[in-house]
Order: sequence, then C-alpha cells, then structure tokens
Amino acid sequence: MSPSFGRGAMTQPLTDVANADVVMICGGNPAENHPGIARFINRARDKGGTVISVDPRYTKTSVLSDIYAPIRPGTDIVFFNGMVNYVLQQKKYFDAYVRHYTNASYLLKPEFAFKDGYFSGWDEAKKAYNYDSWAYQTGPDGKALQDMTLADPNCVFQRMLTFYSRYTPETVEKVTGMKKELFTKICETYSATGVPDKSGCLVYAMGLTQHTVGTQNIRGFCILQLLLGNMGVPGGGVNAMRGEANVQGSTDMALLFGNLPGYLPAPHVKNHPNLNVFKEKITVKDSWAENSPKYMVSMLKAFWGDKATKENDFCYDWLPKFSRPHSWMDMFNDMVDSKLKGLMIWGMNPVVSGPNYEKTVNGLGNLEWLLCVDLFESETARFWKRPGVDPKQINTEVFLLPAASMVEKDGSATNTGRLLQMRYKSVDPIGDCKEDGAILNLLVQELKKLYANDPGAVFPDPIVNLTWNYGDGHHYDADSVFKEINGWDVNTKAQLPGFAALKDDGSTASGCWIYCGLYPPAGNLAKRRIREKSGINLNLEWGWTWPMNRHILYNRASCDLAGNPWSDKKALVRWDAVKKAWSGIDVPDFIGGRAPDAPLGTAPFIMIGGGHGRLFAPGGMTAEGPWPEHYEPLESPVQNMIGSSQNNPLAVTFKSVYDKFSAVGDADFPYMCTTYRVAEHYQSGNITRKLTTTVEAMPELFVEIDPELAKQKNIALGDWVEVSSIRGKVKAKAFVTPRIQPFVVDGKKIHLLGMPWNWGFTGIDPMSETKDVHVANQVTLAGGDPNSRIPEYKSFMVNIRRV
Amino acid sequence: MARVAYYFDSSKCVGCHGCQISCKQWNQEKAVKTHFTTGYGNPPALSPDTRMIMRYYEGMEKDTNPMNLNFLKYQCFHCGDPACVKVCPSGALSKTENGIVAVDQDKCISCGYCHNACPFSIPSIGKNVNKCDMCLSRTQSGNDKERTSIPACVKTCPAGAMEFGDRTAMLAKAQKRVEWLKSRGYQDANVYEANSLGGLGIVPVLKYAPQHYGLPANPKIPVEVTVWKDFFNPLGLLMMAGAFGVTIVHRLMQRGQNDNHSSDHDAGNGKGDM
Repeated sequence: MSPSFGRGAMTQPLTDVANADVVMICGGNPAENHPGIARFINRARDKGGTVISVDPRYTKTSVLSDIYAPIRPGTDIVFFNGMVNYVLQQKKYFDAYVRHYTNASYLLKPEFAFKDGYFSGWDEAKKAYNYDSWAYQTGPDGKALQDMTLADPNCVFQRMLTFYSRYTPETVEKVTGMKKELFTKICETYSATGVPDKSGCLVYAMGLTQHTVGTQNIRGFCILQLLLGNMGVPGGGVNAMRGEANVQGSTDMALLFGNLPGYLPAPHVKNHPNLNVFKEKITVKDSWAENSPKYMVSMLKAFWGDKATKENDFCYDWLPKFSRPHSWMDMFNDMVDSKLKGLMIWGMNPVVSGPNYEKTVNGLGNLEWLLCVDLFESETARFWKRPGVDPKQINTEVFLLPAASMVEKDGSATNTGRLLQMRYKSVDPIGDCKEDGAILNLLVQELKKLYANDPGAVFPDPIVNLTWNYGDGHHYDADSVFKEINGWDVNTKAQLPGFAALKDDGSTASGCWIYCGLYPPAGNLAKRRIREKSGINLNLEWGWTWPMNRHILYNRASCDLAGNPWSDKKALVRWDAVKKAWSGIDVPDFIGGRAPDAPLGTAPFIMIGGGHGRLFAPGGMTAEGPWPEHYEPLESPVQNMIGSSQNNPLAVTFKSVYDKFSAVGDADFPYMCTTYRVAEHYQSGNITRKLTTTVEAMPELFVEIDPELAKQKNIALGDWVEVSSIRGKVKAKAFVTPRIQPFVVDGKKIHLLGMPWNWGFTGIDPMSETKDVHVANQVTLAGGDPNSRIPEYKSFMVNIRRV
Repeated sequence: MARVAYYFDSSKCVGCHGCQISCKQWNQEKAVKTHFTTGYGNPPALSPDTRMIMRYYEGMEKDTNPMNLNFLKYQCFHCGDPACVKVCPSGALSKTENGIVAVDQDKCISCGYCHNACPFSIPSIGKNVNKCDMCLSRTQSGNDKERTSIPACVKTCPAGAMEFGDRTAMLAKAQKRVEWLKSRGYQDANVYEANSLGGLGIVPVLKYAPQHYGLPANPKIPVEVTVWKDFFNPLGLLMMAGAFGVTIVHRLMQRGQNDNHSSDHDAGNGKGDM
C-alpha cells in the first residue's frame, strides 16, 4: 500500500466496512480468523451491500457472501489485473478522480518498456533490475511532466491500457481456473462502485500477502481502488486483516528489521552513513514527509536524552546499521549457517509457525542459547527434545521465562484499523510470571549495569546512556512508556499536542512520531470509551487512532477539486471557505488550513511527493515491477501462461541443504497445497492447544481434500493421511469436503489440498499424544516476496496418501 | 411476565464455536475427549457434559455451485409446551414465569423420561440431567448495564448473529430477516417452527429448509406423553396409570436406544453432518 498511497497501513477503521456498497474479500477468511469483523461485513449486507468472496476454498466467509468465486492459489494478480483491464476497457473508472488525484497523467520515460514478463532494465546476468527507466519525464523544476488529457502515448494511463490489455477474461479463466462468466459478474458488481455515491472495499489477509508476489497482489488491488475513486471515502479503502490484536502496534513500533518507530527507515550501512545523509534521504519534497527529519531527531532525543546533542548528531552513530536483510527467513538461514549465536523469542513459536520446519529446528540447534518468553512451554522452547531427536545431540542452552497473559498486565493494543485502546490488568500474574514489560525492564537494567561496570565492554555507550525510566526493579510502569512514545518538550517536559509540534533542533523528544498526539497534556486518549451516537460509526472518541485521530486516510479525496464532497452520501470532510479550514465528521487527513486553490491543495495523498496516488510505482519501490505482473508460485503445477519468466525474477530463495523445490510437473508432488488457520486455535496454538474447551472443539490437524481426489486415493472422511512435499511429510486426518474443488487450468484438472497450521507437539490435544510432530510447516517452503520477505505459505506442491 | 427467547440467525453466524466454548466455561462443564471424525463439529453430540453444540452441514448442489455450509447452534429449544417438564416426576425440570425451561439438578433422579419425551431428544442424562437453561444464573441475577443478564452464548457472539429478549420482538425480528433473505434469493428461508410445541423459545432464522440443518420438519411431542400426562394422569386413575406407566416407560426406553442421532446426521440430503 505504501508505494500506492504513501502509507503502508490499513486505510479505514474496522467499523467502516459496514459503510461499503460492495465488500470484496480476497485471500482472507475473516469469519474464521477475525470473527469480530464478520459483524461489519454482515452490517454492510444488511444495508443493501453486496459481499464477494474470492478464495481457493468455500470458507466460512464465503457463507456470508452473495457471490463466491474459487481461484487457484497464487494467481490473484491475474484476477486483479483482469479487473483493472475490465475497468479500463469498459470505461468504468472515476474519470475526474483518476485525472486529478492519481499519477495517470504523468509522462513516463519513452525507454520504459515491458516485454514478455520483464520490465525494462532487467539484467539477466546479475538477476537484478536497473530502475533508471522506471521513471517520469521531468521538467526543468524536476517535477514530472503531465498530460491532463491522458492522451499522450507515454502517459501512465495510456501505458496501462497497453500493459493490462493482455489480462482478458479468457486469460483469467485459463490461468486462475475461475469461470469467465463468474469473473465478469464480479467485475460488473465491483466496478459499479466507480461513481461518486458508491464505494467498495477490499478485505484481505495472508491469503494475498504470503506469496512470492505478495506485495504486488496488494498493489493490484490498490490500483483498482484508485481507478474507481474508492480511496479516502467511507466504505472504501484497502483493509488488511491482521492476525493478532497488536500486529499493527508492533510494526508501528519497529518490529520489522527495515524500520525504526513510525516507519522511518532503519539506517543502512551504505545508504545512510551519517545523520545528514539520512535526513536528506527521508525528506520527500512536496509532501508531509518534508518533516521527517524532525521525527528522526525527536526519536533520537527520546532514545538518548541529554546525551543526544546537535554536536554529536543526536547520537545517530549509536544506532545499529544493517547491511543485508534480517527478516524471519534470513535469520533462520543465518542460524543454519551458524551466523547467529543467541536468540530471544517473545510470545512466538517459530517451530510451528515458521516455514520449512526442518530448516527451523535445525537452525535453532545451531544457536548457543535461546530465550523463550511465553505463557506455556511452546514447541520452540521444547525443540531440543522434540519427537525424533536425541536431546544429547543438541547443544543449545534454552531458557524459558514465564510471561503474564493479557489480563495480567497493563498496556495497549493497536488494532488493524490503527486504533489504540488501553487494556488494564485485572488480576496479578500467577506464580513467578511477569509482564513482558517487567521482564524487559529487568533485562535492560541488568545490561546497563553490566556494561557500565565492565572496563572491557565493547561499545557500551548506546546501552549505558539509553534513557530508561519506566519503573524500578520488578515494577514496570506502562503509563510512562506511553508518555515518552507521544513525546514532550525537552525543556518544559510538557506533553506535546501532536507531531506538528516536533522539531529537528533537539528541543522535542518523541519515541514514535505517528503516535504523537496520543498523550497530550489532557491525558492518554487511548483510554477514551465514548460511543458515537449518530453518524457512520467512526467513533472518534473511542480510543485514539493514528495519525492524529484521522480515521479514514486520504479523506481529502472524498471531495472534488473545490473541496466539496463528491457525493453527500459519501461525505467525510469539506473545505469551509469562511473559516478557511477543512472540517467534517472525520479529522481531515490533510493540512488543516490548506485551501483547495493553494499549491498542493488538490493533492490528497499527503505522504507522496506531489500528493497523487500512484497507479505507476516508479524507481523500484516495488522491486519486481511498477505494475503487478503474474508469475507462478515457486512451486507450481503449470508453466507460466502469461510471460516467459516462470517465477518472480526477484523471488527470495535460499541455498541451504533444507531448501529444496519440486520442479513444474514433478509427478511425485502433483497436487497444490495451501495453509491457513481455524477459529478455535490462536496462531501456533501455544495457548489454545493447552485449554480444554478449545481442544475439545477442534482437536486434530486435518487436511481438506475434494471428494473426487479422495475417491481416487481411497481416502474417507476421518482417515489418517500423510501429506508429503520434497521437504518433509506430516500426518493428519482427512477432511473430505465438497467446499474444496479441483481447478481446470488451461484444460488440465488440478487438485488442491489445504490444511491449518495451528498444531504441533506440546498441547493437550490428541495430536500431541501421538508422540509425533504434526506441524503443517513440515511441508512448506522457505522462499518469498522480495519486498516484504514474507514466506510463500499459501502455495506449494505435495502428494497425499492414506496411512 | 412476557416470554423471553433467543434469536439465532444462521445467515450471520460464522461457526466460530465461541458460543459453545463460553457456554461450557460459564456453566463449568467438563471438556470431553474428542477426535476429528466428521468435520468442524465437536463435540459431535449433546451429552451430560455438553448442553450446547455447534452443528455444521455442508452441501453441494449439482456440480460445483452453489455450495453451502450451514451452521446451527443446537441446544434445548425451550418449548412453550415442554414435554420434558410434563414427564419429569421429580420436579427437576420446570418452566419459569418467562418461559425458560429450567433445571434443578439437585432434584433430578436421572430417570431419563425427559430425554425420551423430548421431540428432539435433547436433555442428556448422566448423574443428573443436563440441558440449556438459558443461563438462568445470568438471566435471573445478572445486570443489564454490564450485559451479564444475557446468556453467555449471546454475549460472546462476535458476528452479531444472536440476540436475547422478549419473544414477540425476537419473532418480529426473525420474520423481517426472513423477508430480507427471500429478497436476496434465499427462497426457502424460514423461522424454524415458531408455532410448534407451544412456540419454541429459540427463534432460529434458517437460510434453507430445516432438513439442511438436520432439523425435523414437524416436531411433535410423542403421543404417549400427551396421553399419559394430559389425559390419564389428571383423571387420577392410579392403577391404570401404574400399568400403563410401566408399558410407556418401556416403550420410551426402547425408543431411546434406537435414537442415536442418525436422523440428524442424514437429514442434510445425505450430505452429512460435519
């Protein structure tokens, strides 16, 4: 989403799904995995909306839909591009919106080209792109040249017409297995939202992202939304369903290796040698990101307090710099290569959840030490005595610290709609269990002592001088953390009202700029619990939403150029010419006093230079293409029918002994397989497989298989079966069901299997009693998307037999 | 006092098992050992340790489309004319003023009459009878403001598929929803047996005909029960009653043995209970 709109976060609040005229759910099963959202999908339907479910299986979400369309895993781009082509050909796009709020009119360099699966600049020898040609023609002022008539053959719009024309309904059917008529019906239904008084939204989850083309899957839909004018309006947007209550909060606070808090980039050893270069690189002209240096300096002030001065670049040199990716898959590859000595795992269970089980467990076995912090002993904490290994052969020292559960600690969760809500401790942790914050507090205090007292300590400054005032010893004070995340005036210690008050001279401190405004002098706004009495259920006074309580991002785009709503039915904000300000039922995601006729007054995507949504993503910001192009999954039953490159040319793969892939047409692994979760178990099941009621409701790992294949293989409902891939095998129970159907792809019938990955070997469930390993990831592969480096859990090749 | 009921909308349900799990937890029932046997539905049947279950029915019409997957929240239907209360000899089962069929476990003698008299064979007999009592502990002593006065299952539902309250209002809501479903192409949408058995205290909105949810189309109180309780018993013909009673108990017990829920399993057009 970030290359398309400027920010990577979900654009709407969850409640807003209910305001959509059409809800399209692709690669997600919210009814099963995010049941709280089902309520809003149901409400959208109650109000007359149409719900479309596109999924390889008929899921519990499909039950809530009006139109269900099966799609072969790994072919979503063909589907989305087919829809874009339909919208372009049938002229269903929102003309004025496309013309003025997107980069449709930008002129591309004539040398930009696309041929047979590759964009211009591909270097076959280096297996890399040179991105020079993925660029706009610019004028003397450095700005992109535009043709507002959209007629210039080099403008983005015209180039799109050509690029997308290959994705015809016939091609969609041939590659995805979705019937042409059904596809066309979806196109008609969804593209009807390309008018001012209608809106449509996408709800997606890991079914779109966990692919070698995960980022481009989302891009595909973002482009469609821009064309239909569905961004910035109620009931529109792109809604990412997060798999856990605080995933959004954790990425906001720099969970990902490439980020600092608030999505500032993590410094790279070559690209960001010093603060000045860093500031230059994060400054984006003609966008709100012109202010980024203020956020960086304020963050450094929050990290190192008085030690951070203008003279020492605010201690920029103390930040670690990375030189190569350190994502999940990279870390485990490093472990296999014995490049990592120790690992701390907080509330995660990689042995169950990581791709390629054998690689994961063998990687962990190369560590010197492993610390797990969890409610229960997980498969990961017990990897050294897992079924089938001799503990004596594993030298890793494993520590397990008992953590407090969510009802035993204070804190917050930021939900997928960017909404922060405080949560409170209701009971004290049992036994020796401690809040995560208390464990971390003790650990950091001890580290500071050790570094301070050891004359031989290497590079002690960043740790010794780290500001850390969140309570003493075992007492940990969540409130002080929130105060610092928001930030204060360094001299007066007064809480800041919002990120507009942040400075780059060292006079302000703020731990995470996008959260600045959460805790103004009036108090912590995430504590608010006031329900909206009238309106469209945005609930502005319930908790607090970043940035600055703006609920629907880019909402300037809900107005025409003059600042009046495109439609009263979809009104959010408007320009008040008398007060000279934007106002409305949502907080404007715009510069409050910037008039429509002022420079950039009609540029709604404020985080992008120039403020126009990107139909075309220049300069390699999406590594494998400015537009999504279809590539087959790393393991696939067919050749790519659209271009000459079978896979994403930049797909991430590794070369350890555990990284094996089966070739196209490998008769030993003829069936496609995908993985997912069930409602009854939470993630890797480390909690729910230890509770009697959830185990009772969903006791055993199963494999969904269509009745036709089951008959061929002599498999009946409830039989033990073994699913195998080139990497491993796993035993499970057979779930023969008509809800999963074979696909006809290019005239060839392809069967699909599917299984949930919530099982392992440490629960009270019957699977754990077998003394065998029942981890779905025993068959998955560790390869993935070059942008996000997410693994391709959703599509790979297997075989199945009755045990 | 007006009758209460709860509303269950199968077209909004997501089959998440949340109601079943919170039911067990609130009512402090033991979890039973289960295995994957028929699909999503576990435990597979009501039992002395399980008073409410989710049932799943899947079907495929013609070749591939339209498919369906139907959810049913299954427990005591709280009949307006509850056969179980009629036959209960110990006073363990009773009807409250607001129409809840309540259970007093201490009075139960585990005779099993209620199970056999029930048109759905719902009450389970272990050491005591077990069946849904609409969370009497909540509905009688809970507090409206904190929503502790509604049954645990209703409070848990994340999908907005359930509601608890005045039965007339629930029926009106259900009727409206059925009309809505019909307007969306579900021609067979219905409120399940609103007028049978003295009017059910559970108001299920079904997208398809009852057999797609394993439900009988025309549930009836066994004729033996009607004859016994409404005719002979009031006459006070004790001798005759005694003789008949033995016969009836015998017959009912035989029926109980044959009743292994197979009728429910096969009802979805042979598509099976999952």
